[in-house]
Amino acid sequence: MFKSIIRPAVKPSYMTRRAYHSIDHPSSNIIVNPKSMESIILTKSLTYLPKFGFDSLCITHAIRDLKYPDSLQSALSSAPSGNSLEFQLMLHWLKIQRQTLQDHVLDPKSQFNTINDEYERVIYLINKRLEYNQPIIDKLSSGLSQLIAPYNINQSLDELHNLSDDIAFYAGDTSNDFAWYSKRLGFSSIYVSSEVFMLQDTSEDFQHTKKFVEDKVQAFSNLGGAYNDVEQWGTFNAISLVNLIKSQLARG
Amino acid sequence: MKSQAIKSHPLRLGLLVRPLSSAARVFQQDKKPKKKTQKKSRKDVEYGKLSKAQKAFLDRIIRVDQAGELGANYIYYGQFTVLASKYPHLRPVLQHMWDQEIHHHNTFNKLQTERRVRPSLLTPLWKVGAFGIGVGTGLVSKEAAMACTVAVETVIGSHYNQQLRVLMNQYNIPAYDKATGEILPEESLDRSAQCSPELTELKDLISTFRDDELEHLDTAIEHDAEKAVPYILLTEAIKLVCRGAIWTAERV
Amino acid sequence: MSLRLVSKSFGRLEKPLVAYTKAGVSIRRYSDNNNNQDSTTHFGYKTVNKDDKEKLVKGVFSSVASNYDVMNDVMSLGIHRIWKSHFINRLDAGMRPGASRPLDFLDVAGGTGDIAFGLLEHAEKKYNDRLSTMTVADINPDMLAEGEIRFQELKWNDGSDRVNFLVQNGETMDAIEDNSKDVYTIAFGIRNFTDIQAGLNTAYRVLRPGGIFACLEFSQVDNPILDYAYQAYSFSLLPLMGQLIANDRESYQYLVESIRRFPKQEEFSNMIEKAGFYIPEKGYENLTFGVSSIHIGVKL
Repeated sequence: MFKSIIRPAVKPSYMTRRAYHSIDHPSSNIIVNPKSMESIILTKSLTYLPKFGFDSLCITHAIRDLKYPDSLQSALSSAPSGNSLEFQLMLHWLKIQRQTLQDHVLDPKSQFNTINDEYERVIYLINKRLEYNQPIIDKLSSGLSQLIAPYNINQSLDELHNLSDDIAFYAGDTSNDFAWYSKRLGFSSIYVSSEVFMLQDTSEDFQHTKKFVEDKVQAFSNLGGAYNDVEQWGTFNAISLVNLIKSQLARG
Repeated sequence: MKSQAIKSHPLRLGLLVRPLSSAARVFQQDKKPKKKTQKKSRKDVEYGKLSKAQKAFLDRIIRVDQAGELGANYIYYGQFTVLASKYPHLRPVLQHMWDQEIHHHNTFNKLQTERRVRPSLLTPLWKVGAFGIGVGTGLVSKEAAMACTVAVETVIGSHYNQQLRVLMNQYNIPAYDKATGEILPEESLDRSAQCSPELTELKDLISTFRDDELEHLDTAIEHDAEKAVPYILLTEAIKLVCRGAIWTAERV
Repeated sequence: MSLRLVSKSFGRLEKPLVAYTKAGVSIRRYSDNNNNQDSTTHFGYKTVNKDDKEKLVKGVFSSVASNYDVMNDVMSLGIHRIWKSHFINRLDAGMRPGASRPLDFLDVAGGTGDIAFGLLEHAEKKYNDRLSTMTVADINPDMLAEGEIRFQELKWNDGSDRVNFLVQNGETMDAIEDNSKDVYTIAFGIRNFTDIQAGLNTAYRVLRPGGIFACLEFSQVDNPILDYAYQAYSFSLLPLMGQLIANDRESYQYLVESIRRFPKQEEFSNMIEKAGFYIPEKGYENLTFGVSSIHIGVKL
């Protein structure tokens, strides 16, 4: 109730958004700083996920493992971001998985590098990322519910879009116009729906989920072709129109 | 107060290296510093972290320059469509300028993909608008088309200059020794290593493109741009439109 | 609410201070040794001798001690109560079930005990923590006495030694050992320190590794338009209200000026870092557009 008096300004969502990928300043691109206090504690906490789920108990235990008193928990609970411990845990988990996916892509020996087609790569990446959910699949829904709380949604969407941007970039997307947006939005929505599907999936080795991802990406890629056709058709008509006007003017 | 016991706590890891910037922290290695008299070349150097503001600025200039070059490309496209058949003597002139703009546009497209910058959301609008301006001024007269070139290139040229000024003055990023992790003073660096190739190339690129744009400006004046009626009104109106477009493209 | 406090405070002035120092609570006094003879500091907008500031601040708080809450109500339009409870909730401190030992809290400049009792209440309610200890320190015996009056009526006044009241200079904290506390809180107090950096260094000294420094303080409004309105309010209206409510224009004038003098958020964060603390994220959280802010530091 008093939240609006205390923190009236909505936090700008670009705070966490990735912007500009540097080539020669590699430290500008890191996803989580592995040496900061917060990430040491949170990374340690992730080892308790299978036991407690996305619960502040993970952090309590991690702090004890690190041989610090309970007071250290206040350092996270009063983090200037204002995020709850559970949400911090969830966000950190997402970032670490994104980091793992990136490491996988950048590993020259990984199977990913044998795939050439852009959309095949997208399918592979989404499935790979979903695979990281498997060890905690029965705890995942409590974490996902953190993400959709109204005061968390901005940061959640940023993290989701960072993921779909990674997927698009590593798949080899080179679009420079509106397609850039439609691809990322498309991959985001495919990822979210696949994740929700995965929660219900009881098939052996999540076969159904993999098929689901494949179908969705395939459908999206067909749609993308349609979009490009529309744009070319529009350009063609614009030029025809110009020629028509010219011919009319020339006639006087 | 600072007993050994405190120092050995796991979380102090991050704190011990705090005097250096966070970028240094990431790449901090606990090795003894070595003395070297030879100047360091690029391959011995690890460039530090770009600040949030520095990243945001790079992000913005790539987006706005891409949109700008797209606009220029489509203006010449429009002018060429209208004028090339009517005035055969202008054909090579327009073609030369247009080709350069296409090259600029492709360069920024490549940068936008590689540096993972989001393109302007209004790309379709820039295409239609620029093509419209090109066609419109071309239909009025060839002098009006040239006046349009004068206006556009004036704005773009000065905009590039502003960007260069910021890139020259506000990107003094520390360089670290790859082997030891210590900060290298500027004097100990080879001239080519004082700034990362990434930034040097961007500056070179922008200044080359600026020179091209100013050359187009001269070409347009040579081809009777100032005889357009009403010249002042036309150029000022187009300048206003360009500035508005720049302002928008930086943000959206 | 405020009316009740005002009348209560008027009644209190006639009673002798000694009356509140019994009942198992001891007030210990330590002489303040401040040797900076030749340096000066700020007292509101006046530049005064460093030695004098302490006395002057003491004067202000002695004169407003009894209706301190009324003053805070006036200065923050009552919002300081929400800020304080937010502060306590964000800290979320307390001994978790299964912990090896209770926590040791230290509330500095906590004369009236708002924060101290709030923290204890939170720890008990949320974590069933009935063991952690609380030391309330204040340089001003009058303010501390005010807290002790309240303490008499509270459940923690059970004869155990969980809650302590201590007259202490926050810059030196002579009576508090190194590495002996887990949570150091200071709400609306640090700007009255003569040497803020010394206060922060001392906070670092008394905390154990893993201990947290948390400070709630009036700060700088970041939005220029709102800042203008806030300045207009605090400089013109506040001293007047101080005169009307507490018949003490001078003290209120000082408080307003000292808020303005206090370092900006970033600057204060840097000072905390300089004392040796680790700063999570940007180090502070603005409350209500930055009228006040919470600063955090961690001793690792």
